Amino acid sequence: MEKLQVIIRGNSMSPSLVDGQEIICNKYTGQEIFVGQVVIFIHPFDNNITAAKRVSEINGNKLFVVGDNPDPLSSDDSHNFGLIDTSLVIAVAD
Amino acid sequence: MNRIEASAHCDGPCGVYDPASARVAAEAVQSMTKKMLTLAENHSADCGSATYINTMSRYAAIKEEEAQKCKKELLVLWTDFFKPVHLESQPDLHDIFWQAAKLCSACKVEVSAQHAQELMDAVEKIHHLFWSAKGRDVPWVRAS
Repeated sequence: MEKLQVIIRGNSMSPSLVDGQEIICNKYTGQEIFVGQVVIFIHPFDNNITAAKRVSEINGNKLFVVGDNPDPLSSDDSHNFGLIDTSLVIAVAD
Repeated sequence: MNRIEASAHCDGPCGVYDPASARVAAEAVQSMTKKMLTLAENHSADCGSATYINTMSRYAAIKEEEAQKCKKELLVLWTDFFKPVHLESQPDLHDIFWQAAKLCSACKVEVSAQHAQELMDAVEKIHHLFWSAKGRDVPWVRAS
């Protein structure tokens, strides 16, 4: 499976992933996504932004993604932009 | 292996925060404070006239409204934009905002040129904190 090196920018995934941390992901080609996985996806409202969040719920091909940071204001995620379609996912963390 | 960056920011997608809103309100507070002091100094003999009372009342109403607006704008920056991570580089962040909010309250209830200037100074400090946190060099400018 093709790998992708992803550099995290920001702290919405803290403490599990911190600003500047590099992670290796599998390029998304339609493989099954599980609750708890970190996904890399195109922001649904701004295709210039590639974001990293954790999947907390799956509804068909829709994902509810959230940041790990316990500060409720620290993350722009599905609480703000709703479920994302799996077609926006470009990679899945190992 | 391909290499990309993934945003884990909160403010990237919206980007609507700007201390300029607080600055405009603080400038209005200072302007109204100066007008009130000038009016009282130059027209105290007319202080019983309807025109004087009306003008002074309008200045006071605008000053109070803008002071409250300034406080609200500062609180939005404090509680929504700034994050725990910013405290690492700016440990006195909470005190800076608390003092600025207290100055809004002081300017609201008083007619103090000193406190109005201190409020402007506090907003300027927050302006620099904010843009520094965003990694941008934005000069401080006043509309008045």
